[in-house]
Amino acid sequence: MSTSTELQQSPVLSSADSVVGQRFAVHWTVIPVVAGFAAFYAYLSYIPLFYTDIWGHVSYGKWMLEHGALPTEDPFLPLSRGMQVVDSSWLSQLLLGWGEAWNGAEALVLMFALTSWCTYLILCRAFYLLSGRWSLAVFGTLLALFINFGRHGIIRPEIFGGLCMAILIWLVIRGEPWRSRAVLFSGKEADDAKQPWVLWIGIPLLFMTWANLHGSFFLGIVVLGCHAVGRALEVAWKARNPLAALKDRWVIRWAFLTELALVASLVNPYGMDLLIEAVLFGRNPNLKDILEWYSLKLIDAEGIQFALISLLWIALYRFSRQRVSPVDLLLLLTFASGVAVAIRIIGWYAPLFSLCMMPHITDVGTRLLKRLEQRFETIRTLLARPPKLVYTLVCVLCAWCCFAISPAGGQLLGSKPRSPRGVYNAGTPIAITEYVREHPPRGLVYAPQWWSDWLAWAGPPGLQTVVSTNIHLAPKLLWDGYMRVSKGDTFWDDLLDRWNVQMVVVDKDQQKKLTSEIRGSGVWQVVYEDPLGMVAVRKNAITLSDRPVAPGTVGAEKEVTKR
Amino acid sequence: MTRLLDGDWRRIILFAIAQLIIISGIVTAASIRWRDRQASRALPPLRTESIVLRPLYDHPWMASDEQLEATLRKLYPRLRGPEPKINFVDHAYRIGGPDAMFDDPEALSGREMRDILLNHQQFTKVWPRTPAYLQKNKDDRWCIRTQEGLATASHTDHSLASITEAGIARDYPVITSEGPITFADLLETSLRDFSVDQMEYEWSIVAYTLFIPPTKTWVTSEGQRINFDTLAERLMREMLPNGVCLGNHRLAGLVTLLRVDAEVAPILSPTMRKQIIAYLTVVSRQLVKTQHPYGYWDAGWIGTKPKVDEGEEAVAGDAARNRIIATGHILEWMAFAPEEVHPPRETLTRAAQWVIHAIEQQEISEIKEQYAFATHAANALALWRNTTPTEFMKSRLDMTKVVTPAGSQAGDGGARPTGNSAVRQGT
Repeated sequence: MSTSTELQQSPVLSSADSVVGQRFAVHWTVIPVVAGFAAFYAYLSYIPLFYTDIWGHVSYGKWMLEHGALPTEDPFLPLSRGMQVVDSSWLSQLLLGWGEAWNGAEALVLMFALTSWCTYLILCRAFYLLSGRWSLAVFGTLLALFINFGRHGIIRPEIFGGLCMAILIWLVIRGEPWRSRAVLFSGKEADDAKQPWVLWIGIPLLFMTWANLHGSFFLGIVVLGCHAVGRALEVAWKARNPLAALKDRWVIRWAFLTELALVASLVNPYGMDLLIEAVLFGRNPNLKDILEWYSLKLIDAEGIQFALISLLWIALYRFSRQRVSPVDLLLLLTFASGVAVAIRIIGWYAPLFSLCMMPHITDVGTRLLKRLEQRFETIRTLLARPPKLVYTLVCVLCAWCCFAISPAGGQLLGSKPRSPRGVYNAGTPIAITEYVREHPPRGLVYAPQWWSDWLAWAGPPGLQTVVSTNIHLAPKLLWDGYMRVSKGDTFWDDLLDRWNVQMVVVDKDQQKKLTSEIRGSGVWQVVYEDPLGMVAVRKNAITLSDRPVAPGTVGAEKEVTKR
Repeated sequence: MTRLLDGDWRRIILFAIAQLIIISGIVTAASIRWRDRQASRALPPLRTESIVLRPLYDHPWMASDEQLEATLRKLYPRLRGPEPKINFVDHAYRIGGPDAMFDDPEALSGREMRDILLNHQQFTKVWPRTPAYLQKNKDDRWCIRTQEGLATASHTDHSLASITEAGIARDYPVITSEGPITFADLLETSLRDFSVDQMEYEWSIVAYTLFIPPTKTWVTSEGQRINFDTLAERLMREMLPNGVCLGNHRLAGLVTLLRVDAEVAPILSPTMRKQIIAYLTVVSRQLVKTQHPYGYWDAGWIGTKPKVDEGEEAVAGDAARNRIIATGHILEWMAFAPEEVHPPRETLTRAAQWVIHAIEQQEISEIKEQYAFATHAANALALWRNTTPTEFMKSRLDMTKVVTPAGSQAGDGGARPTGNSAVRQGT
């Protein structure tokens, strides 16, 4: 199946080349591709760990490793006790927990870099199968990266979901004969009588894994469903007979594959509940306050980006001679609608947009490249150069260099470990955490949700916060109260009393009003401050001196009164 | 038939049958699971009648019969006439119950008070121009209008808890502007709206504790699985004296949990029970420290000493009000509490005597200002004599002056138990 334009170009190896040389020689055009991917890996491995939910996931992973069980409630949020946890990312969290236990934060960086890198590598391979040209495959991959650029540095179980989506795209291209240009290049007719075993085996295995890694598996099922419905529409339209769709081999295959994926995704610790939660998750009312769950607005950065790719979509449809596939159109419309409802979907829209545009990119791109070749003799000559072993060696050198300069490579080669400033994002409240570790809170801590996971992870043992990035696990009223305090709205201090908060951690940049409210409060005293944030504790909290400390009673640890 | 056996048709039919089986299988499995999930989130079943806690102690040294009678007479619910403050009606009904009768024509009987609260027709007779006290909420469910003026309940679920504490049947007919419902409907609306994090939760918890056991666990509309341990934690979560009436309703809620746990059904975990007792013991020790030599507590009861801002002799204004609030409420919840959390007898006696004299010294007009708070003190005195205000006054009434209202609502699921049983059973 890996037939390509390179095969068309009938590489002629010189007689001087050895057998080994012939086997490993590559065309010079592979060098920029390999160099680009190697550099991309190095770039990914230098993205610092963000301070948000990654630490919550690692904490869950560690908790699972320690307890040998899945959490039924959030073990770190006392005010959310009783909120049922359907942990759709349990396997990812376990992997992250293992990784962290093995090699600390650097292991998390490595896992992220490798996963994201593999995702784009697989996409590139898939797009190469579609286009038959590395240059166009790289263009498609870059297009996916461009669309997803705002989210590509986010380190969380979603990256495993992204990898699964890339594998699904690759499987779909491998399985469905007419998607791959390779078939056309080899001068064959698409043979739809042949069973696509890669799909029959790959899809259930993929969805069994995906469902346990991340809740986005449901979007994968939607992708397969779009193939079934789109293909059925196409066949029925062509035959002008709806029954024709029911006897089409690929309609039947896609329908069964969708159902197979659905059944495979039920192989998880929660069974049907996971599927129900995956469908209902977006309806959680707390999510409306979270940026990534906002609906698309054309004046936002994502909106402008979306508008630009929509223009590209129109332009490609205008200039491409390829027919528009109903499957692709259905995929595009479904996922574009998803982006319109919640901008978070853009991460899944990105590879699918590239997938659907690739036939048109291939058509327009090939014509453009041919025209360039005709006009410029140099290009023609350059492209006609035969593969050489030396190009392979250059590729290996590029890959080695990038690996060597990456943190994981450096560690392997014996260089000094990176400083925390290099590993953690600059917005991570490291100094605040150090202060809190030295002066542990006497009870619950109010912290912005984006810092809460980090504080619970890196702060003193047993530190608990009002909410965390597990926003969906906060009861609605608690979440509304959290938001009220975060904005420094009226009754913010009453709410802190209601939760019996003993320490407040404030992000000075994001919570300006709360910062000034706390400064002017008669109840709270700022005990630590740095350019990022500040820590405040209650001024006059007292503990009753004659409080009995009954062994094993939690209440004995609590603050009872205030003056 | 031949056509059906044709290759294409056979494929179509087999495919259609297979799809039918697979899709209906998946849909059925999902529906069953969905139904199970919804069932697990159903409201808890309610007891047929609410639990009524009986008094535990008879301490005549705290209040003599004469003192108790004088105090109770002063606190007759003289609310007959237009526009009686609902906060006073439900407070008076709480301590009197449906059987309350008074030898004062100005005082409303227990049944009359209950009818004002639970019968829209009776309510409109005394509050003809205000919106109905029983209203529909945004989800079209019947509830009690709250914190919207004198004709409404003073706190979330305050009326609900007051009526429940007095004893009522789940199916007691409640007459709304649109026809009859039951008391259970009002309670279920409260359960549906309840959040552990809501601002006022004390009365909701009392009402649930008296109506839900032996069921221990249920799921709130926010999806939070809660039990009575959760509610106890909530009652102890905030610092004292946060909460209405200087935090005393939270302590009353804890005592209610302890009593029901000990006498009706085990609703608390042993750890939580210990924790509550430890908490109340600390509070009790604190009370010994902050009691004024005269016997009262005030807004400073949780500090290091009483607040005496307006002169020690102040018996009017905010200072007096806070003293009656604190002392009356503390005496009341202590009367329901297990003996192990009590302060020394001297502390309780001084407090009871102070409250008797404070009420004695006040004019009827002054009492009217703080009637709701004073009912807690009067109830406390009766409880410390192992009786209730209605039981105690029954033999002391001048029956010639007792007004027996005609046309009171039927369906008497609300009579108080008169026997010695600690609680009314019936789940």
